Amino acid sequence: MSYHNQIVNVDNTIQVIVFNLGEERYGVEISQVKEIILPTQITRIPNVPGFIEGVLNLRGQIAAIINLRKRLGKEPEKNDENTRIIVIELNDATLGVMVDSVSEVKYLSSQNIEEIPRILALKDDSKFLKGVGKLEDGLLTLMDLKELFSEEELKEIKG
Amino acid sequence: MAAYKDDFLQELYECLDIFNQSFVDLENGDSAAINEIFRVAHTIKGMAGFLRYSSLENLCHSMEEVLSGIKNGDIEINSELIDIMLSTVDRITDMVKQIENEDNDKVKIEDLLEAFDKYKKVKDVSRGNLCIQKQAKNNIQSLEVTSPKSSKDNFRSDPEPHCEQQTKNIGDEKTYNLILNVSLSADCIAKDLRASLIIESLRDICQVLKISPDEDEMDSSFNGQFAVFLSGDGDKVEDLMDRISEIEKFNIIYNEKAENPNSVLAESQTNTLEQNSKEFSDQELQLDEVQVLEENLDELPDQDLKPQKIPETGNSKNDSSIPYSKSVNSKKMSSETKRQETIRVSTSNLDNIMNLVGELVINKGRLLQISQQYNINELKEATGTLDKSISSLQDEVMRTRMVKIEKVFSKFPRMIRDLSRKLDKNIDFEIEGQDTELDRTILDEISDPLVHLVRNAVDHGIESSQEREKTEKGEIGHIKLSARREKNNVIIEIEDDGKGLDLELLKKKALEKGLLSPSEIENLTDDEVRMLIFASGFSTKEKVTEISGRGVGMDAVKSAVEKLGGKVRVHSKMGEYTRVKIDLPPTVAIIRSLLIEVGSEIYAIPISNVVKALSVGKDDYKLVKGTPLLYINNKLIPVVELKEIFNIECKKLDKEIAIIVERENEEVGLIVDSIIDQQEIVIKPLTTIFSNSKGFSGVTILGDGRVIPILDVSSLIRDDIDD
Repeated sequence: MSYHNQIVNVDNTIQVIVFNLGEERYGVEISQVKEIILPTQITRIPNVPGFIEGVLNLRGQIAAIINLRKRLGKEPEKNDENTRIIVIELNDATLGVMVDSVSEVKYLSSQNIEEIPRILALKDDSKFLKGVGKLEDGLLTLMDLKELFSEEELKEIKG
Repeated sequence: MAAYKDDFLQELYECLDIFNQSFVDLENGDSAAINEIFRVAHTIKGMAGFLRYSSLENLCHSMEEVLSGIKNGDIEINSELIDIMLSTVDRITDMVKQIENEDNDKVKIEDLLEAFDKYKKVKDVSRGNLCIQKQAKNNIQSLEVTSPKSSKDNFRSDPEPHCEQQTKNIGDEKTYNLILNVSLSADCIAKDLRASLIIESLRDICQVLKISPDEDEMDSSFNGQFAVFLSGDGDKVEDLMDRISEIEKFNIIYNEKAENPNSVLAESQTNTLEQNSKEFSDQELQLDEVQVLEENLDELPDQDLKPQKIPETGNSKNDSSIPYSKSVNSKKMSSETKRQETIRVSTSNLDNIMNLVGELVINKGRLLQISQQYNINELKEATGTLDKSISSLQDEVMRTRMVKIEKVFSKFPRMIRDLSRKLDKNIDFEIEGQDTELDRTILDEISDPLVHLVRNAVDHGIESSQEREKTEKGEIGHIKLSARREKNNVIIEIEDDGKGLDLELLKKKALEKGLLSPSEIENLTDDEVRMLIFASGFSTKEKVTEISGRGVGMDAVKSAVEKLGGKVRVHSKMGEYTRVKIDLPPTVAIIRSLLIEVGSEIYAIPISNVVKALSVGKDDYKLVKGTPLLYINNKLIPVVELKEIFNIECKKLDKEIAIIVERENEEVGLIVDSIIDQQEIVIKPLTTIFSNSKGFSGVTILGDGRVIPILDVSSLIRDDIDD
């Protein structure tokens, strides 16, 4: 089964949350997202890979936060008032993905989702990518945020 | 049927635990254990039969027959028989796994059935005349019991209103002589299944004529009360009912009709007298039972029941015209009142409650902070009260999580038995302090390390019988496993009177394995040499055996204990004993710790790791080969600068605090800026993405909502110093 099939709903339309890293636009399927929060006090955990920002207290839950910019090897930016954390839940753990900003929620029908171009699919980061969405105002890269915390990925962190 | 499987499996696992314990008890001469084993075998058989696991049923049936032979004294217990029984238990364990995974019980059992058959034959031969005696006795009994049956009407003078109604519905009252009313205990799961099982076992011993409510009507909403109309021997039925623990109470009404209430009285008096005289005149066992019965009655709050126990007084009252069934009732009830004091709660529920209490504790801290800030008397008072209630709540929840260490200890007798046979060693195993309680999580974590230590004691500690005979210690080796509460901690000790640790051998091994340099070894104290057994990659046994000696064990034991915030020590005298002492905190979820500050960051250090804290300045350091070491009380202590290892950017202060922690009998100073506070913190695990980052055992949330990492001292300093 390709990623393409996995994300399409019965009615062939999915809702995506659109977020930005610099000039690039990304989308994450709304069902993956638990909530979107402001980056409040994040506690640094020493001696962990650089893209892990640390942990924060989300109403008594400890959420590990990763910086998506750093994870994808982009230049780090200072947090500003637009910085957001997309919170997801995976195997009972609460995890957060820090992005430059979250802009809107869009509907995407299956005809408008293309598989990732082959040339990109060969790149290491491509396992986080699910496809490319075509909107009236441009393209959008669909991401699987859970994949950021998959077994494989974690092994790599530890490796 | 699948719906019952989970319940069935859960129950089976419990049964297996009881089996393992009881068999060892039995072998050690506790003959009462046979009753327990018999009961459990019967339970499994019944359920297996109902769920159509025929191999399992057959096996239990064979076992049960032999067991009943043992009970009757027809078969003598010997260790060969116990071996067979234990392999049966193992085979049942296999089946359970098979059922769990593949939903069938296809495990080979023919060899065991054969072995049991052999014993059954022995039993049949030896039975002979005993049988006749019993037969005769039964005849007399049933005569007495059923004699008033001649008058067939009027049985409604039966004083139990509950069954009166039910008996009305019965047309063919001529054919039954017993009405059995059963109430299953409220906490019994799958009542309909249980009822079917009971009825099924009744069919084995007598004729079941009618069931009310009808078996088909029983479903998951069934309330656990039913009546069975039977034709058969009442004593047998009572016997059976007594053995089924899920029955809250039952009574047996003999369908003996009488013309007037007086005759009912007279008749039941005969019953009672007969019953009592039987009880008294029979064997010791039954006498014991009567005593137990009386004890139980004493515990009953309802004192009215007591006089009814004695038929003479009981009969003077009208409502006690069936004293016999009443007394059965009360006996069952009293065991029930005991049982209902505990309920089953899923561990995830407990964990959730614990988490919630953890959050309460955090919020409490926040409130206390605020109330101090604003200094309002009413607020202070309110938070003070809240503080108290939350602390008691916390204590109570902690206590709910406590499990008796027995749960882990109970598997050792069987293990030692098997091991000592395999290794041909004669070992006397003693357990002490089984009632000591530990937090569930700790108990889970400590189980494997204990298994390892006990195996070590058997394998490495105790010498072979031949070797021992040459010493003054005698052929039988002793291993003692004990647990006790000491101050705030739980101490577990495993002691064997075997050959002890050979310090020279340990040193030699450490050298050979390149763990230490010759000069380092020279400087070790005896205690430190003994601690070498906990170093990773260290195993002194010449040959690696199946039982122990893979060289990873002791190291794993130590890290498991330290992960729980505990300590391991080993004491030994060559040729005399080895004693491993484990010192554990009773709970893990909430611990006392020091909050320390480095730069702008705060960390928590569990108090259990801290030896002392002192203020240090430049003058307290001495340079040794270019490395600064603390020089305190004529002792050199290596230091770890948290600033450095955590990459915290800030200036080094003139006056700092050295937190002295212990690492394998060696003291290490953690250098921090200041100590902020000492307080109880709730440990929250770090998510898996941090599992590679050594140095932290988790995080906690402070009163102001701030997340603080908790230092895992042993892994932190080990890594730093070893690097």
